[in-house]
Amino acid sequence: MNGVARFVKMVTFWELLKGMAITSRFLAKPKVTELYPDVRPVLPYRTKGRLHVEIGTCISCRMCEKACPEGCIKVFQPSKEVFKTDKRPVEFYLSQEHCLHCGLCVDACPTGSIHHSQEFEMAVYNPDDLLFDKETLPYDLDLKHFRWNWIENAPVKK
Amino acid sequence: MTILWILLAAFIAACALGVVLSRSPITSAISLLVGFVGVGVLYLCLKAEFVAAVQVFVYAGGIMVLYVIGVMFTDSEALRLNRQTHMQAWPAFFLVLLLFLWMGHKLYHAEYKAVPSAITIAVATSPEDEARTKQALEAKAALARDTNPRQVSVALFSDYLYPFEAASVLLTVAVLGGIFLAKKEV
Amino acid sequence: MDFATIMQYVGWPLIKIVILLIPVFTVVAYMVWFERRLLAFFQSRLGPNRVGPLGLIQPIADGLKLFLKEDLVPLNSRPFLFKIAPIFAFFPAFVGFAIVSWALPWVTPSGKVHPFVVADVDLGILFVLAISSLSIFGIILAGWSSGSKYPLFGSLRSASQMLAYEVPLTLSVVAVVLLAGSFRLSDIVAAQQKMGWYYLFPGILAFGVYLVSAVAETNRVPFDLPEGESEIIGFHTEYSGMRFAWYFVGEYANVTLISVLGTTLFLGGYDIPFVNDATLYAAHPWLASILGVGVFAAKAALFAVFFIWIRATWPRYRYDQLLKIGWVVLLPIALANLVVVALLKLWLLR
Ligand code: SF4
Ligand code: SF4
Repeated sequence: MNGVARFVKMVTFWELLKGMAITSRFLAKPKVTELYPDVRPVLPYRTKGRLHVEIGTCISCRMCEKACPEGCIKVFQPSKEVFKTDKRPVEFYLSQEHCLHCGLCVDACPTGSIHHSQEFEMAVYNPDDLLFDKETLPYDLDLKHFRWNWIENAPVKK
Repeated sequence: MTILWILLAAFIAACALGVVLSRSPITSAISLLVGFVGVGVLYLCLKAEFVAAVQVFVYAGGIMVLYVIGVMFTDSEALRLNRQTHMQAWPAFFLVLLLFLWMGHKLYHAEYKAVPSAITIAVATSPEDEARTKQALEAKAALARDTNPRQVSVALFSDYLYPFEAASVLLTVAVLGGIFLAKKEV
Repeated sequence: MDFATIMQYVGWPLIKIVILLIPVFTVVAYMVWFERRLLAFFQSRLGPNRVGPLGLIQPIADGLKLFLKEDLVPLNSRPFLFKIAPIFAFFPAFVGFAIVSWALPWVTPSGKVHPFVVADVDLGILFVLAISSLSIFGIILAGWSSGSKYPLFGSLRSASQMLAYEVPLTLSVVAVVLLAGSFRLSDIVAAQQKMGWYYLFPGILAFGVYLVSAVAETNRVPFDLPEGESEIIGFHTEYSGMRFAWYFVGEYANVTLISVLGTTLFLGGYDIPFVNDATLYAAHPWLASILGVGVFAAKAALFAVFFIWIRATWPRYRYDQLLKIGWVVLLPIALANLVVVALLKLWLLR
């Protein structure tokens, strides 16, 4: 009986047809493709997007500059007299062109002024457009992405 | 038509020369291939469509592939630098020339008899006879139905059956011999 | 030579060729789009849908991209052969369309019969087989002239594959020719119409052999060893730009041609199922012709869908299995089928 069944299966290409039936079922199934520019993707909480710097809370300690393996951060401290009252940097250069999105600067920052955002579209026509300074650096004041103690603050997955 | 024919013949001859004179085996093989196709076109001009198709199918598509594969794997710089002709070429050339002259002479003086078709016979014998004319028209229709492959197969399986079978036996023997020679242990 | 003669031998064929080539080119281009979309749907994806509505301009965009790309000729290659090799792959596929009969012949009021064919030769299908046997040179020459080992091995694989599958393909076609008694495609369709059913039924084995060897002949999954898009290195590795595009277009033209021929040979071509074509033609010639072409296209599309479907489903064969199927399985089946069909023809379907 077993032999007969196997013979019938062989002659009718049963296995091959079964495969085709399975693939044909996928024809009608909903598609998994995300239509990206029309439908924005929901990014995970820890997405290492483009760096945002909160100049207002930055204390010009240059920890991020030291931590960066690519050397894409350059912080200019204010003069000594000014520094006593106002610790904010006089200039802050950040080159997204060389940035690895490694997050070392974020870990190094004692005040959490530099942090990743969810922004990931950084295509430009001119590489110079990726060099940001104090004026052009994006930041968010509401500290939505405030990453100080981010491990503790991360939503817990059940 | 004659001009076309001469051009075609010159083309085939050029391909044949390319096969013999070329220093790189692959160029020889390619010119042989193009020559085969040219001969196929020649058959087409002679209204032997079936033979033309078989020429292209078997020689160009089948045999040449094996040649080219063989050549591809034996092609080397040393082979390409070899002289392709040597002193035996001249006596051979004269012998072949003689052969061609003889063949040309024979062909030129051969008598070609036009085979009268059924229609011409029927119409010629009795142009007024109505039954005969009808017969002639039927014969004409039959001729129209008589396609090229049919003619070839009828000739092959009636008049030339024995040579055909003999050739196939010969080929079988050749194939078996080839296998016997190629196989290490039998 | 007067004007009428020139028109008869040069003018009309040229006009016919142009009229035929425009839709064929379009179909071949959209075959690529169709395959990509359908394949994506089989895999729960969407496929190219951005360029134009439903991605319909995608083939044009692709063609433009390939056209603008740099045409690289490797330093180590034989430039002349390297440059002409794509022609060998490209033209046999397109020449084959010349003998396909697309609709019922057009009968003028004066009783002259104009078949819907570019070249209505006696040879018909034999002509296609002869020409398409040349396409193998496109692959061999490409592999050899690239001056690199991987394309050479790719072309060797494909050459032995094509040799192995040309024989069963031809034998399966011969079975149909035996049944119809003619090589001419319009005669084959007419014979099927006269018999009342398609050759799919008396020639079911031949149909199977035809399908399998057609897939192998067009180098498609599961027999895509010559190219091996995903992992094996194929014969056109060194090609870029437009020369690569010729191979690409040639492959899809081949798929289209194989579908069209299969439709004619086994599915009755332009015969409209369940309708007596002759009476319909007598009543409404235009309707019958247009319907016939439509039905023909629909049947050929079935073939195309089948090809894409198996591409979405089946894995690739190993090389030795591939050759074994060709020589050990398909060839005996095709030969036995030939005998069966000959007996059938002799006793039943006289
Ligand atoms: S993420 Fe890494 S590479 Fe980028 S600025 Fe910070 S430390 Fe440098
Ligand atoms: S580590 Fe933080 S606080 Fe220190 S300079 Fe960099 S951004 Fe400012």
